[in-house]
Amino acid sequence: MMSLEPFLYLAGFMFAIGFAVLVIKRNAIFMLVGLELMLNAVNLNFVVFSKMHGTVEGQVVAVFVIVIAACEVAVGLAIILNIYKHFKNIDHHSINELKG
Amino acid sequence: MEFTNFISYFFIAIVVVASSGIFLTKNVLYAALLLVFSMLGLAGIYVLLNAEFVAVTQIMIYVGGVLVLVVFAIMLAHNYSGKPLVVENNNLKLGLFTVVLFVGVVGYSISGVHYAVQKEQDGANSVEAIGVQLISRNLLSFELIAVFLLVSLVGAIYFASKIRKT
Amino acid sequence: MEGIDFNIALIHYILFSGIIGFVIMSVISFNKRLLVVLGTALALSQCLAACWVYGFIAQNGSLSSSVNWITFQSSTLSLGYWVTTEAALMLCVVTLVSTLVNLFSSVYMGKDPGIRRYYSYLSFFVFAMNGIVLADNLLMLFVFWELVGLASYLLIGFWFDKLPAAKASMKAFLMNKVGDVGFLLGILIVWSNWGTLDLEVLKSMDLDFNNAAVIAAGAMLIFGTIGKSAQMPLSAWLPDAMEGPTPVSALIHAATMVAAGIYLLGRIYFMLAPEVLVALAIIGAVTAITAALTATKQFDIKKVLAYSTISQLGYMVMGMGVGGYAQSIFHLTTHAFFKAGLFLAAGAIIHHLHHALEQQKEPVDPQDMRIMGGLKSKMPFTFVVFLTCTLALVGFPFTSGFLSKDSIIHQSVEWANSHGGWTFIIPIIGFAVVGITAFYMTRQLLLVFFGEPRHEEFSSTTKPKPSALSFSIPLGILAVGSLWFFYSMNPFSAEKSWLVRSFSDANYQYPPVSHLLTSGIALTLLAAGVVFGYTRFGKAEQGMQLDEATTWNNRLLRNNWFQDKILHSLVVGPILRLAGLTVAVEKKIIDAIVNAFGVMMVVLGKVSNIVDRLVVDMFVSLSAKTIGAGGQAFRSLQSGKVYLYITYAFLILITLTIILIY
Repeated sequence: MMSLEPFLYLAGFMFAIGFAVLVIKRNAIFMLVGLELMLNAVNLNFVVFSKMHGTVEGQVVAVFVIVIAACEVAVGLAIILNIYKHFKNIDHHSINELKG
Repeated sequence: MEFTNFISYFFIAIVVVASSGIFLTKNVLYAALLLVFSMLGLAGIYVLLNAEFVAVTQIMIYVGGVLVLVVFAIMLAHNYSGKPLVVENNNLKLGLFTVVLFVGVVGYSISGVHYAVQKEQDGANSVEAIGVQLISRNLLSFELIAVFLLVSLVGAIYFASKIRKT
Repeated sequence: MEGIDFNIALIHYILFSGIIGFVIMSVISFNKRLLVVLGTALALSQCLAACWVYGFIAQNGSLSSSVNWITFQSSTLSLGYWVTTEAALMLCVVTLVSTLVNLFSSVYMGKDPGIRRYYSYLSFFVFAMNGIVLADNLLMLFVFWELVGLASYLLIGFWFDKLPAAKASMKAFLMNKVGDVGFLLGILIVWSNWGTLDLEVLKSMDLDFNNAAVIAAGAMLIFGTIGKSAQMPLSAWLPDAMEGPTPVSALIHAATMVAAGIYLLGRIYFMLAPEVLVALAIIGAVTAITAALTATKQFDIKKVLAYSTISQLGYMVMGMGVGGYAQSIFHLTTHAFFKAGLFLAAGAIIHHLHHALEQQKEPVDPQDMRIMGGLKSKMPFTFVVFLTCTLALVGFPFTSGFLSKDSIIHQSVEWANSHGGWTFIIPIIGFAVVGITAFYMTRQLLLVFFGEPRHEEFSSTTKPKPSALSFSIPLGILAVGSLWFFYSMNPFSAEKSWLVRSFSDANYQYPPVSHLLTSGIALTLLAAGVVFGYTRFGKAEQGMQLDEATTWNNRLLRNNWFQDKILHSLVVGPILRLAGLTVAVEKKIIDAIVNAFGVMMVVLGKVSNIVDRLVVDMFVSLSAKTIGAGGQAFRSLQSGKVYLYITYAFLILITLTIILIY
């Protein structure tokens, strides 16, 4: 039987890349993309462990996560459009309303 | 076995390259495109892991839905004035430090344990099992997630539609 | 029980309608006519209610009702009524006189711009006086006592833009306060010794007159009377109080203010030890004779009456002192009628003269008897009233004054008879005052009504228009009230008088000293006074020249025994000198100490300033700078950038994971 470790390393790598994109890129759409990567990394882990235990529980949760990801993208894009409308750009570096 | 291993490494490579590309590129449109590639690669991996239903869902939702939305957003949120959609980096040092730290922790954690399939799935088709799960043990979650999806989509539409009015 | 409740309600009405009337008249601006009607109707209704209550009390005995006000651990202060026969009688007198004064004032004060204020004050005055009459404990009595003082202050100083009026009101108020301090001390003595101020309770205690506390309490309480009823050491305020409007003088002198002092004596009579009574008799006698003598030399029509009031009050106090409690209250009642009549008649004269003199170039005092004369033919009705009331005042038979004065003198003779020795001075003074009173009232009658007019303005003016009804009705009522039949069917003896009997024992008998003898002496002296007065003032000019001469006795009497000067040199002067002394002490010594202290403080301040700047400020600025630096350092964390927040959160998550795993 094949080893599952490469998939786990892949998930970790994807999560790291997603996080890097999330915090480093100066663009709101990039942030969304990074979030998608992170979610998929988690999904991959679910599916891998589902395979490992021979059940479909993880797959079900993965499906839920996908659905929620879809919701998140829809809402997130709506927010991005509103931000664009408000600030005339989506460069979140210049959006610092929370600054103390 | 060899073939499966080869296929799996192929897909892993696709995902690694595509996601690295997302990080490296400065063009939002490229990023969206590379996201599609990584999603497709993941879908392949899911098939290899006997999760056909998740794979199909992945392709349908990400390639068919999310990507289209992202592209729309890119088009709506950028003024096309001939210049490329260049995105600058910031927070590079702190972000990379965090990422490296995370990779170190996760890699160390994974490397200490051997992971292998402990029990084969009974029956070749996991779709049926997922269906049974969804309307038996996870029925409440299923219904709730349906309502949640509806609400969030309606909310998103309403939220986006305000833009046109004002 | 219903009857009692109804009477209590009436008493409530009598008391509180006064203050309600005061508030209404103060707040709402009526026109003049409505104001007069309201004031008079209010007083009249009080009067009728009081008469009803009197009728009830005379039949059913006294009435009391009280509510607890303040409860201490062991004792209670209450508010309530104790309506005895005397109280009900006083209520009738007060409200009747106030009704008549209200009516009289409608013309007398009709042209005054402050008439609304005037009427509201009158209402307030009557309210306060009724409170004194009804109070069932000393504290409540004291409160209303002070309210009467306030009301008299307001009314005496009614024309406060006139300097003498303002000064007189202040003088009246302050001299009353001197007596009130004694009164208050008396109340405190009572409270500390017996733990209650309720008069009924005190009366039922059967106080032991050998107890020093009882004597002390009595001695202090009568100070209230001395101040309020203008007895000897504190009598100087009352003549000055003539600066108020004349109807107010009538009210003060007849029914309300000065009567309160006598009434107080009646209320606390059971607490007065024999020693205190002797003191009262002496005070009363001295006051009676000094005031009567002063009255013989006054030229102001109202001042004569004022001094005669003091003299009569002296009689009453004396009567109390010699044990003639019922007689004193009786004299108070009769005096209320004829003195109110005299004052209102004088008011009518002043009113007439004031209008006649309005066209004069240089101001002439319309109260000066030297410009009067011959008014008998011009104001016949007023003359008749004045004559009737004068007869009552001097104690002529067939008048109320004869009955009451006679009974007081009689009682004093009896008292002296039983004590013997020096005490015969008291009745002798009493007899002498009868003669002097006859003399000065004859003088006044002759100066005011007889002879020729001594001012060209009056001789030229024709007869004044017939006096208004609001003048003649009160005058008529008061004149009739000064006759004998209202009080006793026998015009020569008060022995069977229903009034006297109603507030003393039913088997009241005249003391065994021959009644005929005392009456005979009194009447002889009366006749002598009249004759002497006539011989002296039959020719008014001669008499006036004699009085105006600057002999020592004229000066002494015209200035009221120099009471003001004595007071000024004995009390006011020392106080002023003491004030000057304290100012000097303050400036020289205390200020120096204060200044030294100040300098010390400045030096200390300089030192502490240096310490502050070098030591304390260093700590403060150090800690402030540390915190500021820390804030600057952490400020950048709070950048408002979402991705930084996410990074931090994630770093913390990783740190937690590391800690959990290893």
